Amino acid sequence: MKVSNDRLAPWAAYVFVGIGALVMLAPFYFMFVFATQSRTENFSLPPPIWFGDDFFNNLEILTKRIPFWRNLGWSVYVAVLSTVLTLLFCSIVLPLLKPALGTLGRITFIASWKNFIGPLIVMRSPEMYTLPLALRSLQSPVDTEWGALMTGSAIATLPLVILFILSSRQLIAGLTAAAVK
Amino acid sequence: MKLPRLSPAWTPCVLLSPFVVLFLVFGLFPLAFSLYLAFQSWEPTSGLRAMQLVGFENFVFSLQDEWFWKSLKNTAWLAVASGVPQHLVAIPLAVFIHSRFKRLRNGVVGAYFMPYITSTVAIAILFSSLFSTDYGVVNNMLAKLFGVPAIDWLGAPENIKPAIAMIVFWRYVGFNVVLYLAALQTIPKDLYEAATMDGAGRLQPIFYITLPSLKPMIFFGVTLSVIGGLQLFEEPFILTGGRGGSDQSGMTTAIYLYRMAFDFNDFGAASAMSWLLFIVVVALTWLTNRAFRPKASSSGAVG
Repeated sequence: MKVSNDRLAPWAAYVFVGIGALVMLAPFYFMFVFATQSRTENFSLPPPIWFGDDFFNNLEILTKRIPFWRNLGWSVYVAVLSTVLTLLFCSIVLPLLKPALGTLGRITFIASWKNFIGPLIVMRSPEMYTLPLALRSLQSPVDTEWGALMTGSAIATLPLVILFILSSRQLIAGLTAAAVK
Repeated sequence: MKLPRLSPAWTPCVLLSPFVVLFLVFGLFPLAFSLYLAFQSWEPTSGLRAMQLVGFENFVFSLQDEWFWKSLKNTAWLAVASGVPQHLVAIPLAVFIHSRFKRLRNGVVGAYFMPYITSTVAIAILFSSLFSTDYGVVNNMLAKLFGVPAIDWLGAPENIKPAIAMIVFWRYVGFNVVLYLAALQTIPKDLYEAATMDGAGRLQPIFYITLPSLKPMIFFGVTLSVIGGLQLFEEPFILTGGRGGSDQSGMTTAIYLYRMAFDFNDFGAASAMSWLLFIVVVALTWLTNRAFRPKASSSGAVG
């Protein structure tokens, strides 16, 4: 663009955008930091800003409080199955869609992995909960195990973050494809 | 054995049938059933037989319900407070990234976009820890940087909504940046060159070329924000422990109608409310459309 001759955007604007990007990413950082800290450390002043060594303790509390591995299993099951079914359906019904199937699969996986309202309305037994529901059931007004809850949240977020880092360009393009045409 | 040959006229029907069947079962039937339920009095625990036709009673009840109106006000507040800043930030940010970032571009866009794909529940749980009054990172930073006394973000009724709005803003601003970046790429470069030759200053191209060219995308983005904002459910649901927060100040309409159905067991009223919410969504989408319609053509429909 030709505006570059003018000093429309001095270095301060770069700093601003950079700080903004860090603020956007900071919650993820804190999620993984908190996941490795015990409840007492998470509730101390100042709050922890570096990784601790309580990840496996948290995991133990987590597996005691909720059937965590089952919940994780159901999350994987639901996400994989809905992805496979969607891809199967689309490759049969819409054969022209073949080049977009990779992106479609990733988007379906992400959407069903993080789906909350669907399972919330259908699921009644804690044994069958998917991860988002199970994590919510750990929240209580009086005695929330914050360290364990953060560990669970981090585990629920990690696949999405990895998937995003591996294919952010296709994902961004796919998720906004409807608008861009 | 030879299959009977279908006449070619049937081909589209056969090809369409998988979609139509799925749509009927998972799309149309629930819609129709909820419309039917809106005119019934029904507690699901007493079985399908217990339905009773009550006419417009559910709608009258909803419209006289104080909490329903409160939830609508909360929803409107949240939609505006989280939606407007999204676009006010996303447009200049997209313009800046578009004109100034070359190599780092994907990284920066990725950073802003990442919140959009993450699990809402995990993020809402994390934020309820970040916003904690005594030990939260947010209050700590505010105290260190500006000396602000601890704010009761999630306990005090007047603070819940700003906290929720911030999270929603954080989640969707990157999505809007990507929308605007895509639109910016379609603006022909010659327009800017011509403007420079004609002696345009540095801000004139932005106001006379960039913004008008972005208008269709602004319309699209604002429409998405309106629809998404009015259906806001997950963030406030987690942050308020599923009950709407103290003084119901974090209770959106979506949360209220969920509670009406699953906590108070009144599926009729919940269905009526969901249709009322639908009417609000349609009305506001139509108003958005009106606001962005080109002034010159009197009858030209946008879309």
